[in-house]
Parts: sequence; structure tokens; C-alpha cells
Amino acid sequence: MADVDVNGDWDAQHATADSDERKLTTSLSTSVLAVLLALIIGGLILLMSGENPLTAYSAMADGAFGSSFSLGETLSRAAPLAIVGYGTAVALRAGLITIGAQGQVVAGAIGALLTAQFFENAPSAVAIPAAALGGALFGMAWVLVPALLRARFNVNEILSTLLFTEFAALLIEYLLNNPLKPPTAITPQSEPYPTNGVLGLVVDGTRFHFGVFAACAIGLAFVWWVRSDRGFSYDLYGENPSLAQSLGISSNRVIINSLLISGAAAGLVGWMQAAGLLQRVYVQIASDIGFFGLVVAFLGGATAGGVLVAALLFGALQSGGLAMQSSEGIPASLSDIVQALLLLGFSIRYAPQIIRLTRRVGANFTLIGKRRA
Amino acid sequence: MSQLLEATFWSATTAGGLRLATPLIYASIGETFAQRAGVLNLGLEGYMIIGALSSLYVADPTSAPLGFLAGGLAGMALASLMILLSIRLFANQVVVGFGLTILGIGTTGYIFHETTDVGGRARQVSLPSEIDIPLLSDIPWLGDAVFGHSWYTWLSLSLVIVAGFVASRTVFGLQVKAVGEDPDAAAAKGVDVLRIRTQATLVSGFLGGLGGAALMLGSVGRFQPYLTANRGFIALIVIIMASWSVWGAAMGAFVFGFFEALGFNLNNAFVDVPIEGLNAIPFFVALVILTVSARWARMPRGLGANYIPTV
Repeated sequence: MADVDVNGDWDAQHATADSDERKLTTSLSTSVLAVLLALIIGGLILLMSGENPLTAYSAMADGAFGSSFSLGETLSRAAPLAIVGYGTAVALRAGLITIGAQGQVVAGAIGALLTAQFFENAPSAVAIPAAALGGALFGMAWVLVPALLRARFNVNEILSTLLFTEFAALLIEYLLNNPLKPPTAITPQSEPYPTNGVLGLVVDGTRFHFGVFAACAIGLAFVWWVRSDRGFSYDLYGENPSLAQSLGISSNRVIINSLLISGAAAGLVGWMQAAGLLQRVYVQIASDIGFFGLVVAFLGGATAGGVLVAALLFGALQSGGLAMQSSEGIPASLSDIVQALLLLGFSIRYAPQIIRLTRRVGANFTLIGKRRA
Repeated sequence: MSQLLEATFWSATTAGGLRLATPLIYASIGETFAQRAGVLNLGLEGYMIIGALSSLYVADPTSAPLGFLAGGLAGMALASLMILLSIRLFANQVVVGFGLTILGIGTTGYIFHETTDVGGRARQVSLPSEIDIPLLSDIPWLGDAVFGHSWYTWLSLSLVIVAGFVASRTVFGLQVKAVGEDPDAAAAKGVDVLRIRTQATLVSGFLGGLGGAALMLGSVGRFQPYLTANRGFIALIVIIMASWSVWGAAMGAFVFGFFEALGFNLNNAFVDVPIEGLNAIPFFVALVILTVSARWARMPRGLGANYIPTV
């Protein structure tokens, strides 16, 4: 049926620049439509709860773009979402859904803090990259077991990474209540992040720190990955696993590597939040970045530009929502609702990007074990 | 340490396990129907949390049974979005499921903050009393472990029997299995695939909502954002343990609850071991079960894939 037509195949969609351009404009107008629809439904919810939607949305816009401080908030929220988004997009393109970025961000923050404390007396030029690497490695370590379980036993990665998120939450709670907690602290937290590893501010009076530029680097790396040989073969695996295997692409390698890449990206975010935004490690350091990063990857169709736009949109919605809460007293959960509506709106099949991607996930989907023969 | 040798330790842990498992039993049984029909509800977490909030907001001014029912209906309302988007409009089940989980968390957070004044009276319900069954509750060990529970637990256990019967001994149960295994063949036999999937998803929404309501009215009593704390996803895991059977789902829910209770109770026996390590026990057990059951679990062939009827 129409499903097949819309999907077309990979080549057909990239056949001519002309059709590419047409695709872009249709997907652009449907995207704008979905955003408007989500905002309208959000507005209805505001009306029903006795709030003025115009006041709410203008407070939100003001909190997202109104001043250099709010712009900084938007960017420093968008950057981690984009990085997690790019990481999970690599896995998504290979047909894997990892929901565990949340736990990998936590692991990355712990790794970055421990590395930074180890290099406390080193020059910043050593301490900063070392901590970034430490964060990325801890993020990778946190996804290693789910990756092996998926490759070896076909254990569903959504559920196993979710369990590892629980482990990470318990681990950080333990660490910040016991060994890493400063003797004077009352609430669970770490010592301040070592000053030689702190990422400075780009604009004073904001929270726009240099770590935000890591998102640009990761974005470029993602563009390179998609165009590389290996990226292509992982794409192929996502599109058609049995064809890829018959061409000699190792399924274990694709599964393990793509999950490790997503773990490294999430771990890097842990570093960024600890060294840049918060300059200390807290229990809630991952907030909901891992979860929304996956949503950003879905919305962006796991493409470089799409993830960037989705991350900026979500960053703006989140910083705007918090500003709205403090200025108008309207709960910031409204931005969660709008974000969920956006995802639901995009999930409908007229969004061709999502369909192409979800067909892959469908081709590789396994909850556990083998499908009944 | 010596506490571990006492019978009361284990009867208390078994009883606590059954109490903690109660919400999971509702949610996992409902989701078993949906998954047997081929529909994966990653939005189960959303159904549960919206059921929890609705049950409280209805039970607070009225009564607990009405609140319980309202919880189920609220879960069903959210599940109807799953039906609209995934079953009728063929959107990817995983994406819609995540969307519904976020929508559930966001909506309940919004309603809670909008209706709760700082320093004002928080909505709450008093927790139910245990129903003691004469004679049976007096049996020395077994009585403490198994028979002193609230009606939410009793209802969940009777539900296991009813649902087990419906799943394996009724036409509806067979149709559910047929559309989940081979929708094309079922359609060729004249089964309305989309209708059966719709009904199974409504069951999942209703029971998911009841699960949230049982958590709220049966053991928590007041709302807080993120109240369900990933229990919806745990329910998805326990279903796998016994290959999508109703009994297996209930058993898996109990196993998880038992180890959760064990973690709490071991804290009294081993004060030196960090509580976080003990709290990790149920999740670790879940991971082991998930891995081991990969050897025998065979998921319904049509699970996760949308059925698009050819007209």
C-alpha cells in the first residue's frame, strides 16, 4: 500500500537533486505544521487550565530567545541534546534503539570527575581533553554489557539499557552520598570540579560555556561518519540486515560498535555538564537529556541537519518552559507535553524521514530471542 | 545475619514482594494481551502514571473503588492515542510508545503542579487495610506471607485466573494470538485484525491504568512527579520471562517484587552494605532473567510490526 510508496527505496529518494529538493520542502512544511499543531494543542491545555496561552507562549519565547542569558540557556540545553541525538542516531541508523543514554551520561560525568581529579595539578591543556576522554570511556563502558548481550543473545537493547540506567542512578547516589561527598555537604553532591579542568564561559553573565562547541565537532564527525565507508555499511545493515550479512558485514561488529559510539557520545555529555554547566556532579546531572536525546534523534530522522534543528527546538522549549514557570507560575511540564505532542505528530507517516528510519528499526526489531518460526 | 535464618524474615519478604508486585501484575497482564496481539506498548509507563494521578484525584473527593476505576479509564484514554496513531495510522509503535510515556509524565506533572498550592493541602488517600481471611491468615508462616493483603492484591490475583482463562480458552483469546502470530492468515480466516488489536490495546491501557491506580491507592497514597519510576518498563521485562503467558507475567511480576522487598529487608540484616547496592538486586535479577530467557523466549511473530490491511 501507500506505505511502500512513501518509503520508496534509498536510491530512489536520492536519485535527483530535483526530487531531493521537493522532499525537503514537503518535509519542511509538514514539520512546521507539526510544530504549530503541538503548540495549538498545548494552547488548548493552557486554556482549559485557566491560563492565557499568549502570555504563556510569549514568556516561553522570551525565556528562550529574549536576552543573551536566555539564548545561552537555550544553547547550553540544545548542545547536550544534539550530542546524545547524534550518538543515538548512529545506533538508530543501524536499526538499534538505545534508551540508556540517561545512564551513560551519569557514568560519563563520574568518569570525567574522577579523571579530572586525577589530573588536578596538570595544565588545562592536558586535564580538559583527558577528562573528556574519561567521560567518553565511562559512557562506552556503561553500554558495553547491553551491547554484548544484544550481539550474543539477542537481548533487547531498549530493556537492557534501561536496567543499566537504574544501575547508574543507584551508583551515583551511592558515590555522592559516600566516597565522593565533601565532608561539609548536606545534600548528595561531589566536590567542586577541579578548576584546571573547568570549561570557561563564552559570554559572561550567561551559562554559555565552551563545551557547547563540542556539539559542533560531534555534528561534523557525524556528517563524516554518514559519508564514510563504514557508516554506509552500517546504514546498509540497518536497512537490510540479511543483505548486509551476505555482503560480509559482521552483524556483531555493527551492533557492538554502533552502541559503543552512542555510549561515547552520551559519556561526553556527562563530561560537558560536569566540567561546563554545573562544575560539580549532582545526582540529577543527566536530568532528562538521555531520554530527550533519543527523541531528538527520532525527530531529526537521524540526519545531521534534522538532529541539529530538533535539538535547538527542544533546547528552546525546555529553557523557555523553565523561564515561563518562574515568571508566570505556569508549570514547566507544559514543555514536556509540547515535546511529546511534537514526537507523536511526527510519528504519523506523512513524515518521510521517520518512515525510512522506522522501517529499519522494524527490520531489525527484536524484543528477545528469535521470532517464532 | 542470623535474621536470615528466621521464618519471619522470609514471610515478611514474601508478603512485601506480593505487595510491591501488585501494580506490576495488573500492568503486565494487560500488556501481555496487547503483545500477544502484536502491539508493543512502550507507553505503558505513561498509562500507569496517568492512572495513578487520575485515581488519586477521583478517590480523594469520592471513594477508593471509584478512583481505582477512574485510573483504568485514564490509562485507556491514553492507550486510545496508541490505537489512533499506530494501529489506524500505522505510525511506528516504538516512537508512539515513547511519545505516550513522555506525554503521560508531562501531563501528570502539569496537572499536579497546576492544582497543588505550595503549603496547601496535598491530595491524599488513606491506605487500605489488610483483609485477613479467617483461619487461613492464622497459619503460622504461610498466613503472614500470603493471606494478609489489601483488596488490590486480591483482585490482581483473581485477575490472573480470569485473564489466563480468557487468553487460552475463549475465542477472543485465540483471535488475539492469531493476529499477533500471523495477521495475514488471521485476516484470511475473516478475523478483523485491526479490531482485535484495538481491543487488546484497550485492555493494556485499562489494566496499565489500574496498575498505576493500585500503586497510588494501595501503597503510596499521594502523588509526586515520576511516581511510577520505570515500573511500566519493568512490566515489559517480566512479560518476556515466560514467553508471553499470563501466568508467567504474573509470576515474573512477583519475582521482581520479591527481590525488591528482599533488597529493603536485607538492609536491616546487613547494615554495612550500601543500601544502593541492595536496591540494585531486583534490577540485576531482571537483567539475568532477561538474558537467560533469551534462550527459550520466542516472541509473537507479528510483535512490533504494524498490520496494513490490503483493501
